[in-house]
Amino acid sequence: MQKRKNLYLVLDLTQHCSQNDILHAYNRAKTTYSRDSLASYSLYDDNAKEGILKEIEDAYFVLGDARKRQAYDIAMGFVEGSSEQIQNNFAHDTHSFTKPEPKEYKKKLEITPQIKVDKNPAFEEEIQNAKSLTGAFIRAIRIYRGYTEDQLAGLCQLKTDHILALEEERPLNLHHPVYLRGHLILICEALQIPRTAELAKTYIVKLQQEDKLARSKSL
Amino acid sequence: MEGLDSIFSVSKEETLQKVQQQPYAKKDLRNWPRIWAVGGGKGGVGKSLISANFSWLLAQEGKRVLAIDLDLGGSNLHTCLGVNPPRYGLGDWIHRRTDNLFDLATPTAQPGLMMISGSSDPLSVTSQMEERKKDLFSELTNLPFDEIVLDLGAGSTALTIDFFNCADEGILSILPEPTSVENAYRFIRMAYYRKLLLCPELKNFMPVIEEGADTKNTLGVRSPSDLKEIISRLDPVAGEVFERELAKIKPNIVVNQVRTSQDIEIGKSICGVCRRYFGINARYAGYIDYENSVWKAVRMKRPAVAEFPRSILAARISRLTKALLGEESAIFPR
Repeated sequence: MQKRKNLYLVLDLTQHCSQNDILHAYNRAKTTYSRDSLASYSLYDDNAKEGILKEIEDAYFVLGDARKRQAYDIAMGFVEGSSEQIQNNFAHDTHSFTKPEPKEYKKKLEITPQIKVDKNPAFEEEIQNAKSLTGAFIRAIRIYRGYTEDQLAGLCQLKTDHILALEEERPLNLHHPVYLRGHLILICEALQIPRTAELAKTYIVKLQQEDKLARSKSL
Repeated sequence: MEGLDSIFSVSKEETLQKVQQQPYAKKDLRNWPRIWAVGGGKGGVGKSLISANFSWLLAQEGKRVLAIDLDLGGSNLHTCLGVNPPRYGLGDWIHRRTDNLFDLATPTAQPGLMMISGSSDPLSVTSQMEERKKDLFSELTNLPFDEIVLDLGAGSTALTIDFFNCADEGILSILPEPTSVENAYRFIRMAYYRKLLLCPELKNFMPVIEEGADTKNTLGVRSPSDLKEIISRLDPVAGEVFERELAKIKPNIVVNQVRTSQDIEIGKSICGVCRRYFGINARYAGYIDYENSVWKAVRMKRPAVAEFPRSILAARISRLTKALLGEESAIFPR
């Protein structure tokens, strides 16, 4: 019967090491036998190093996972345990190694404007060349684009109250002024207003000048 | 012997008296000196720096220490220890001008520490040293010291390797540079094969070992650890002897001139490679930072630990000394 390889020795460890030690030893071993490693270039050629790296990966595949490691330790006789325990461990492993489902991200809402408005080139130009942003200007653009407050709130995933508060320049009604800049950018993007960050800044500065908003660095 | 009058206003008699009065270290129950050999394979890797500072710190701990410069071609340990070039050195013992090594010992500014300088005429000495190396070790074991530190020369000559192998503890100084690492492996390889070739119990396997030592061998020996398997297969008893001999090679790795965290990691990697390739247990004893205090101390002709006791370098060497003595484990950042 062929003697089974001690995987701990592959990573230069003993069987009493922690999972953290295994991770560190694995990283070190990979560095040691990497192509441009100072420690091994004169003793091993690239082919030999590839073979060693494969051994290291195989060892880490088992020891890097606590359940697989436990099963291996029992199989090697490093710790006491039953064959059922090993089977259970591997049964768990098949679950743990199944590929996780890709995370479902919130789909961007597709809302069609309620009111159809004819294109006004002069106002479009005004939007494109806007140097500052006010509540009234946001409301005018919203109406021009054909959105209701609720629709815009849905597009930006904000509350309708927030949209109204911003249009009426009542920032204190927002749940926290620190979010103001973010909300403004979202609205500008939804209403296709260019230079979002720059214009959001003008809105905040105006409120600060009117003492409607506390001067804060975070804004 | 004339000319052995001291420096730093400490006479030889005075130091001798102090050396003899000092009790053995409490933990150390051995009644023979422990011999340390500091090698490195390449020149300029800090062998003399480590030897000088290590000896100094051992003496500071209350041990009776003798540092011997075995770099017969380029001896300068005396400079690192702050001693003027002594008139007498190891060459006088090799040429049988004196039979007592202790006559050659020169005191240093550190109480308890004495040193024997190398030879000033290396050409005639090296060949004769080969004949007298056995005598040297038997002489050393009779000297009244707790610790003897041998500062070996550069290169991997048979003479240097034999001194390294015969010592109780070997220290291998390595720089985090390709040339140094390559030479250090060559040094270990030589130490490995020299150990096996000089083992009388493996005499019958001499042809196999010699063939295995050849990198273009036909035995299929790709690394020295393969040779172990071949010999174990041929004769299990010889395989056990082989393993026992290999267990004696356990160099303490010291990485010198460390500049980055990757440089510190090289020591660990080298130990891993030694285990896999040679099948030997090298131990990473510590590292020494690349620091200005080293050259400043050398220019002042003083050991760095004495001249800059509060420097990082002194702290590192102190830690290294404790790790080598087994008093504290070596600490490395992760």
